[in-house]
Amino acid sequence: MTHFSKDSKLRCNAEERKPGTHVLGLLLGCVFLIGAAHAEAQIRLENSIKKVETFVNAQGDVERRLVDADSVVPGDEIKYTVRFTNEGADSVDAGTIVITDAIPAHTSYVDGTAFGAGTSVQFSVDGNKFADASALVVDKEGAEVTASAEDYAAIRWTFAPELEPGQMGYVSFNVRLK
Amino acid sequence: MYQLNRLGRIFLAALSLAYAFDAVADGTDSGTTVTNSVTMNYTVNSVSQSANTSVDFTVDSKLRLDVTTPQTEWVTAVPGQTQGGGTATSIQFVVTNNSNASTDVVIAVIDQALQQVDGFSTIGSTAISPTTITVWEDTDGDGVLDGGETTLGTTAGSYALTGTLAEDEERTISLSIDVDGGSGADEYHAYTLVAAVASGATPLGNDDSGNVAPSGTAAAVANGKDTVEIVFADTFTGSTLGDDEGYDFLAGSPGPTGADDDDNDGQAANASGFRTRIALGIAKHGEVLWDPISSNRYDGAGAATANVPKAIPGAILLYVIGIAADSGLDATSVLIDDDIPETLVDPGNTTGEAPASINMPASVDIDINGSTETFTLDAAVTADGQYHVQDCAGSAIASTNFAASPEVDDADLGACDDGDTGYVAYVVTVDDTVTP
Repeated sequence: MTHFSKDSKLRCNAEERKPGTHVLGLLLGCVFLIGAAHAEAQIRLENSIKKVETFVNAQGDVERRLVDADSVVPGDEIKYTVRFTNEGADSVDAGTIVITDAIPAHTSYVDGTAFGAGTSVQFSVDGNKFADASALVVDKEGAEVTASAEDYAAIRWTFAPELEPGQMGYVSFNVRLK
Repeated sequence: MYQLNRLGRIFLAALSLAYAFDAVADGTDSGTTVTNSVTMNYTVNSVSQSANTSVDFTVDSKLRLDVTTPQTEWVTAVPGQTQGGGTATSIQFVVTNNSNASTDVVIAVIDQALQQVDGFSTIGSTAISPTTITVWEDTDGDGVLDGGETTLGTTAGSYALTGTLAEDEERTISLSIDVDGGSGADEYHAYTLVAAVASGATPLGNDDSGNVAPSGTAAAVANGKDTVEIVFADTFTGSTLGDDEGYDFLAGSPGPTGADDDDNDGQAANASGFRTRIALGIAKHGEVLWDPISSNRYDGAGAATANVPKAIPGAILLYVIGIAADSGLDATSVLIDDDIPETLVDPGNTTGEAPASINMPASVDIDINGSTETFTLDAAVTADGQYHVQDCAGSAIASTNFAASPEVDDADLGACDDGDTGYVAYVVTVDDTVTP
């Protein structure tokens, strides 16, 4: 269920031509934008799911491991991993990759599990406004308090480096099924 | 960005609705599809682009039954009680479906006889021999088999509960015993109720995660991210006594007596039981208050003195008939009769030396069925030629003149509920006119 789209716009129709604009200049502008669109990098986005399972090892210690999320019941912890790969010919501009992931319905975020190498992470309690965790507040019984992990509705990662062709990165986070 | 914000609001609205329909105790419903959607925005050569993807999984069935009992102590059974006569007491078990799905349920009643029940007082050495038991679905949970309630059976064994238990649904199962009228006090009998998840009337022998019910055969682990599997999620509740014994529904027999129920076996259990008590306890206390030689046994404050008056002619005696209801049952219309020997006459009928002053004890202790009850005497209890009745409700004391031939006739103690006490007290004289 991976979809690609582009937001590049070809604004060269007659309605947009302002009075006094030379037609040739407008056409050159159109050619430039078309060229940029053809230069798009295509990022392949993959979203995978695993269940976090605890078990007792041969030494009697409790350990955690990832297993296929084939059997998931309330109380189970789930790990989502989003991988992104630049399959295009051009680099993705540094600092422009923004990944937004809504905490799935019926789950709550497990505190401290949002991860992404080379990224900065912010959270949102309403799906719109994102901020560092310490800056998020919610209203509880008439008082503003710092939001807890269970209050988060979405996570946003901003990938700082340039992503060159062939390069990949990933982010991940855990939730618990209510 | 506007589109993203709008999607965010839609997402939150959907999230709120989803939360509103979640079952409170059971978690997310079995069969629910959980979707994680992710969006990526980026630029290439300053041209904005985006991508999105999502992944789903389906919530499996987490089956868990719990069995509790409201009893914290043995329930009193009275010799002679019967279900048919409407006098039988009962124990209760509450079966709760704490799964995230509805499920059918079968139960088993295990006759534990003299098995100790966790948390109850120490069991005695004699078992009640119930003449019959009655197990029913107690719709209103009142412990009484009412019209319209479904009787499951009259023996230990397994039964299917009616219909399907929805998430969070509770069913109260009551069990009464008929007790032979010749049984004595302090006899005991325990029962364990085991509930198991089922399909129709057939208990599930295994789940899809390798767990099995007693003597069940593990099935091949079935897993599918997009399909609903069954997981036994019951837990052993920690009892080491009769509360958690398992039942082999396949063989139709209980597990080893006192053995623990296992985790993740599709079953849950609890135990309760009966102890026989005599409905009303009665005992008569008598003592000499005064004799013409030794004088008073008590001083004016009701405390005992060093004097020990004897039951000689002319002596004044106190009798207290104590009643104690401590069986767990309520008695009504309690009447006391007491024929007084002819050699005892009321003080006003004496022809001998009339006592100038008889001091009374403040209270008397009477052993009733092995338990010491203290009866505080009302100030009205004096050597006055009357018998005095303190009813079980604690009403104002009632005093009645003796007839010419002293006797207590239908002294009315009213209704005596569990824990109540009452008494009849009177003072008489050893007749000093009778010639040996």
